[in-house]
Amino acid sequence: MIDLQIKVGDVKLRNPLILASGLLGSSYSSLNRAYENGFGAVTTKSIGVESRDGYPNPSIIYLEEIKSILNAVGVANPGYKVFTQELKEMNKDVQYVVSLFGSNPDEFVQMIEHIDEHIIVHSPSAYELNLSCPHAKKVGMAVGTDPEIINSIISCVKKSTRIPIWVKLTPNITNIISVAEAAISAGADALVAINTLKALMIDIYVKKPILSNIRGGLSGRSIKPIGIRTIFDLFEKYGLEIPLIGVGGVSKWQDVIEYFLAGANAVQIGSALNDYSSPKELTSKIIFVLENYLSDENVKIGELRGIAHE
Amino acid sequence: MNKRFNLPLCLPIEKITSEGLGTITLSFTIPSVLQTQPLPGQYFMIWNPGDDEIPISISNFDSNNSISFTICSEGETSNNLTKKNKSKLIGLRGPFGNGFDIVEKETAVLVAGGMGIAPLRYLIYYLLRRKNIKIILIYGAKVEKELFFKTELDNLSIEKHFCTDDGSIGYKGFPTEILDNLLKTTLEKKSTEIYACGPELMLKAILGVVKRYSLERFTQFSLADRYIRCGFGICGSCTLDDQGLTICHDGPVFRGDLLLNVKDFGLFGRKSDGSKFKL
Ligand SMILES: Cc1cc2nc3c(=O)[nH]c(=O)nc-3n(C[C@H](O)[C@H](O)[C@H](O)COP(=O)(O)O)c2cc1C
Repeated sequence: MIDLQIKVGDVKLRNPLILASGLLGSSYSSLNRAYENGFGAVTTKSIGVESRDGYPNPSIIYLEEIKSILNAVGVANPGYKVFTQELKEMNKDVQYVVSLFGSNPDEFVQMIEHIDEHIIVHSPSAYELNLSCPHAKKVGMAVGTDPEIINSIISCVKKSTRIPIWVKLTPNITNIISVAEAAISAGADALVAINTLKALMIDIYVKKPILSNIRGGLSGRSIKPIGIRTIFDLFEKYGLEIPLIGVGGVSKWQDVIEYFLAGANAVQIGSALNDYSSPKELTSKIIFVLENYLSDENVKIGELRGIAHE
Repeated sequence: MNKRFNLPLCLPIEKITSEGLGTITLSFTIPSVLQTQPLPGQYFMIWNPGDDEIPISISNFDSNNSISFTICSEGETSNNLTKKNKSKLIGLRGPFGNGFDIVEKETAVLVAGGMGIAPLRYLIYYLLRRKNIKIILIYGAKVEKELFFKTELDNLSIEKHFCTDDGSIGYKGFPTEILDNLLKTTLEKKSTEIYACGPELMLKAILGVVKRYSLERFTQFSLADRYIRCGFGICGSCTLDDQGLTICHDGPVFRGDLLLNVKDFGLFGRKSDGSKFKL
């Protein structure tokens, strides 16, 4: 048996495939199911202070030609208090990450303190701060492109919890190192990159944008080279100093290897759920071949990290 | 082939039929080169540009590639849709969901409540093409006016049982009572498949009835009034507890034996923000 266990800082996972935030993550049932179906960990939908209905539909569109998804869900969520009830129903063996969004340090601290206080027995493996959603006003990318705000959010949050803080970065920025630097110096335990890329589509007969929010975020296969480049940039700059989680366009076992070679310790998978008939099929297909590859190459998955830089 | 349109296919409204009480049927012709063969029980996301996009069951699809959707004026978006004029462009994304599993049994019993008749109407026409299946329709509503397609159904040579809460027409009572009575008396259980669509509370009551005859495995329920966002099973806005199955992709049609284990069936729905509400 090939061991696929990996570590993201101090967080140990049974395999490197993490369910990305915003997909099958709004209820305990779907999170439990995704974990049972083979993910190494699962991430919740991003949760905020107040409930949000999200934008009207169309808010998620599959672009078959490029196996990609355009979405502007508008961080629909029931608010952290209601969602804490959902977390209480998680199966005890499930490793989960709680994704949070907010507009200032106080909001993040308020949510984390509440969850820490109410979920004691089976705490999250990490909090993932969504500083990168491209289509929500005043939160996400709006705060995630300003190194000063990032620094103050993370510094405050780190003081209020012992649970690891992962920081999810946006690719919609000229120099990602500036925000990564801010996150690392404030004590982030891992960086997650990338969130979706700002994008737009127009229907040529109606002659109007398709998404109700007009602009949205692009994910899936088309963005993989951008995700790989981002992880490569981050590893080049920081090396082993900070764990990196690669996201964007992972849909096959080769993509997992590629992210590791660029410098990732783990990957997250979202849009590719649509390439398979079920989450179970996705994880089992990827894991099966991954194991064969590692056995043929006679390496442990972690040993592949950053090799493309040598 | 059952091709799916992942991007909205924008077509002009070809025909608008009033069904009474602010309910209308919109018909479109899907270009035949697009080769789609949607099944009864499947649905499309219907996009009213500039407004919203909502899931609507297919209420008919014929050999001329004419597809129909029946929409009541209950919600804001559906209400706006009922006010559309002919030739306006509407986007169709789909077909989505599993649809009914068409079983070759002697008898098909269709149980409809109110607007739940829409997908079952297409199912009736679909089954009528299979000459060897006997169709029994049980259709109930609050009052006579809410029995949509009544005249059209009257003209079909199938067995019909209508009922209303107030007895204004047909049996005074619920479809469940008629179903129970048929199961008790005339129906050969081994050769019967049951297809149901309507308000979830009614579906829950039907599940109670068929369970007494151990027919839950042979009863298919379409959960047609839940909030749906993506349509293809990835966003997770419409999952059922505890199994985590999505209504939009794994459903909307589920068999009764599965629903017996669904904790929130007939009890709780989920809003677009993901929170639960009591049905
Ligand atoms: C429908 C949808 C909803 C998403 N919602 C969130 C979210 O709430 N929070 C977040 O941090 N990322 C969200 N994302 C971004 C994903 O987590 C991920 O970063 C992105 O999709 C790239 O990965 P992929 O190519 O594997 O999908 C969402 C993506 C999609 C497609």
